[in-house]
Amino acid sequence: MTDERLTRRSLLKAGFAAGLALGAGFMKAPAAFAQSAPAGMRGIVDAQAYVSDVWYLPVESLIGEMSRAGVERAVLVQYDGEIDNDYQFDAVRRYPGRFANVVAVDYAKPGAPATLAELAKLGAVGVRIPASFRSPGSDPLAIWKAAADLNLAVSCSGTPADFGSDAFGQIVAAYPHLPFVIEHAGGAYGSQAPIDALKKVYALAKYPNAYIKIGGISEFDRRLTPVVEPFPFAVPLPPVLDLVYAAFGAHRMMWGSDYPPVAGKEGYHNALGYTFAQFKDKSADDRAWIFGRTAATVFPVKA
Amino acid sequence: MNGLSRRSLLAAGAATGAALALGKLPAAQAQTALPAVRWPFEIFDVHIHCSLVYFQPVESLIAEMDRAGVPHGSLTQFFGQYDNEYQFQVQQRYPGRFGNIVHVDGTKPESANQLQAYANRGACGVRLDPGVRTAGSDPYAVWKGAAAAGLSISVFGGTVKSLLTDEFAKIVEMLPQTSFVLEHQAGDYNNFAALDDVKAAFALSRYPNTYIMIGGLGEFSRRANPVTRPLPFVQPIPPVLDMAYDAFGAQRMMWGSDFPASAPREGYSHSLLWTMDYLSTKSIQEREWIFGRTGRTVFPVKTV
Repeated sequence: MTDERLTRRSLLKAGFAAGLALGAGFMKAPAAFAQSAPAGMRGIVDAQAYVSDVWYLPVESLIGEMSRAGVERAVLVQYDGEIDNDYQFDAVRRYPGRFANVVAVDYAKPGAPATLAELAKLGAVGVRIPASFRSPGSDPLAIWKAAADLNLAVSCSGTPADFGSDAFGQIVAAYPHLPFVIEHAGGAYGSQAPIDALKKVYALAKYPNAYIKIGGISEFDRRLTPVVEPFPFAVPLPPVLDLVYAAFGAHRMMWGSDYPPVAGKEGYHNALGYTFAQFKDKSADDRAWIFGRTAATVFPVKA
Repeated sequence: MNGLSRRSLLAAGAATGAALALGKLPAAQAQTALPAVRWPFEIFDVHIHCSLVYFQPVESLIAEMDRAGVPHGSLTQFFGQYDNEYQFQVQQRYPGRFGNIVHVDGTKPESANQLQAYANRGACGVRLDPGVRTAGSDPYAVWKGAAAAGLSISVFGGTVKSLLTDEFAKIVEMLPQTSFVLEHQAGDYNNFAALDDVKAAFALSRYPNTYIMIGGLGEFSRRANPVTRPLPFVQPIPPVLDMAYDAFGAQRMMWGSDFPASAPREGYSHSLLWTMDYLSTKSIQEREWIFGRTGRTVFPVKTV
């Protein structure tokens, strides 16, 4: 994988057009900010974004970032600890065609499967479940079974140890028609990516219903101080993206910004641009899957 | 604390400016597509970051400020970034909107002269670590350079303890005409400092040239999990703002959003609204100082 760096400045110098005319009603980028989707790509889907009325930022912030970066759609993923999904549903309604909805429920409650069924009726396409979670009562896999029965996809949070456990592998195997989307490159979330542990996570690729999300470079590499431009991270990069690609292939990879946490790191557009540049040598078709089609398939935006 | 959620305010139909005068918050308008908040006084955000290679570009910041009804602020360079050109570009692109707090490598002897050059271009402040010392014959050269250039100094060492040195107090005392702004509750920032240490740092208020920057409650409070409403923090909120007020008074306090670093916490609007709400027992004149006048005075927006 090359380390070619694609920054906004280099794009500006290269004369990339803004190309942000995504359609009537979308926010237009200010003239001074001429960033467009990397290489003018269309159909980009952000597979991991958060909005909230009490934490993080409101949906308007996300819409602004998406529009400036040329991202057409996003998957709203409920953040840890929040089981009130009303704001997400409201955001989906207010911006029709732009968002898929991945909800969360209080999994520890016996009624969690029924609650999930109600949310699915309202239009949720996925549910976020910690990889280590087991339901109370007689069936520890009840919530996973409910997700499968409701034809949802599961966005799984967790650590490399959670994902790499035999127990999690058995759950993935038990529900072969349920898409399991491993978040944050398998828990490579922090400046020290545990490569050996991640390799065990990536062995989950043997299950065809296992998918994986990748995010910005800062999720697995450290920023240099003093700041280095145009690429502010330590190089060579840990081989996380190469390992993910080798294990899962483009059709089971999806990029997600992790906005707004990423705003406190390299920022939305760089989370896309820097990561996109790492796939420069892949085919346009591969990039189309990684940065859009896979997410659009697993987490479809409902009409 | 009378924290009000956006939803509750929407339901109650609270007005914006009038609500503030009554000690309530116009939070509803802050986080929706509704018109931006209009405050009864001008808000000044003393601590905001923007960059092309890290954090977010200025356009993201402008959008947040507009939604929250914040017309002006000071760009504060992030640590490790000694290239201040983007901030100067932003200052020029949005004339009259931003003060400019630059950052230099204070260990280098040439940094003092560099500060004069930055001041000549419109910088109003410099950001320094309290432990930085200049190589060569004068370890305080960068501090003196800031003073000579007429810059205010925004100080952050990552922890409260970084301010608890006799040497830092000596620097403050040595430059009585220079304003020293202790960022992020004097370092009580994402580290849940012991209140005794916070109190010791706030004792720097004995020097009349010190000021305190306060941010969102999320800088020193833990988020409740599961999420709680209307205020998503573990109660009680540590009394850090009360302590800051007691030590410095309103005319030496200034609010800063810390955007976009606050985006992974309560976000821009809430970093303003909930902090304003926490201080709602203070008079509107005092709040005007804390959320506007002090910052605007210490870090003035210069025409370039």
